[in-house]
Amino acid sequence: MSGRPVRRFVDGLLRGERTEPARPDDIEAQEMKTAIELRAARTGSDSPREEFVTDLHRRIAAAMDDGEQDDGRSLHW
Amino acid sequence: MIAGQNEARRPRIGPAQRSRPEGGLRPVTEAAYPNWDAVYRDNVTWVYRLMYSKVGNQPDAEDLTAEVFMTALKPMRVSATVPEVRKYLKLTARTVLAGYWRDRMGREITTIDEDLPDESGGEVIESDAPDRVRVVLAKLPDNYRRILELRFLQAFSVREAAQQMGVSVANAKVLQHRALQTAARISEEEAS
Repeated sequence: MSGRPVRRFVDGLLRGERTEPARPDDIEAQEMKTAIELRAARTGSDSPREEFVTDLHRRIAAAMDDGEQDDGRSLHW
Repeated sequence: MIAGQNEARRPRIGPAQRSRPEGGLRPVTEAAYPNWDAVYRDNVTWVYRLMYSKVGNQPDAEDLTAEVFMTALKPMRVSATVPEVRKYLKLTARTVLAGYWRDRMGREITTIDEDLPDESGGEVIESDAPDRVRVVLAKLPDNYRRILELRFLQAFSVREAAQQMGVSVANAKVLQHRALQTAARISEEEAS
């Protein structure tokens, strides 16, 4: 019988929080997977935030610039 | 480690480019992105959606999406075709997700299937989860289906869900837990 790990996982999931570490058994893992599928099936919940898309673009640009300097040569692009 | 696992599959100048007919136009499936910016803009949404469908929460989906692009973009070659880039991103996503689950749960709770996009440039968004959810919900007793719909699909609080169903908050919590257990059993049976 599953118990506390699944309840904690589901509570966090429904609050939109990060996944907390746990060590689920087979049954608990299946319940967690089902909970994720149910949560992900919520309409309109899976589009990335504009702020996230913009910020990640900026971080990648910075990383690409660093790569060029570290290598002392152009990257592949 | 992650980069190393994908090293052998990194898209490079490959057969697609060599097989281009001499003097002919490059087929659509062999089109390449002009720069990393184009790769990012064309693929960030599906990568995020894929990760969201596998973890179910926004903060982790964002972290995983960022890891995929930071891992995959630098080693990519400008000559890689669009399907090659998408395939590589999906392979990277698969590896990143596996590491995420092993780190947090000691096992993989969800996985990204190996069925990779074909070379025709078709969409690579994969998920039959909504269909599976519908099938599972349809097989549940009414009260189990109702509590899961209210809590997971309609974002009601447990108190609001209890009011909707005319039960106590404590009963709603028990109902939700038992409904999820039953749904998980059905889901496993459906998968096998």
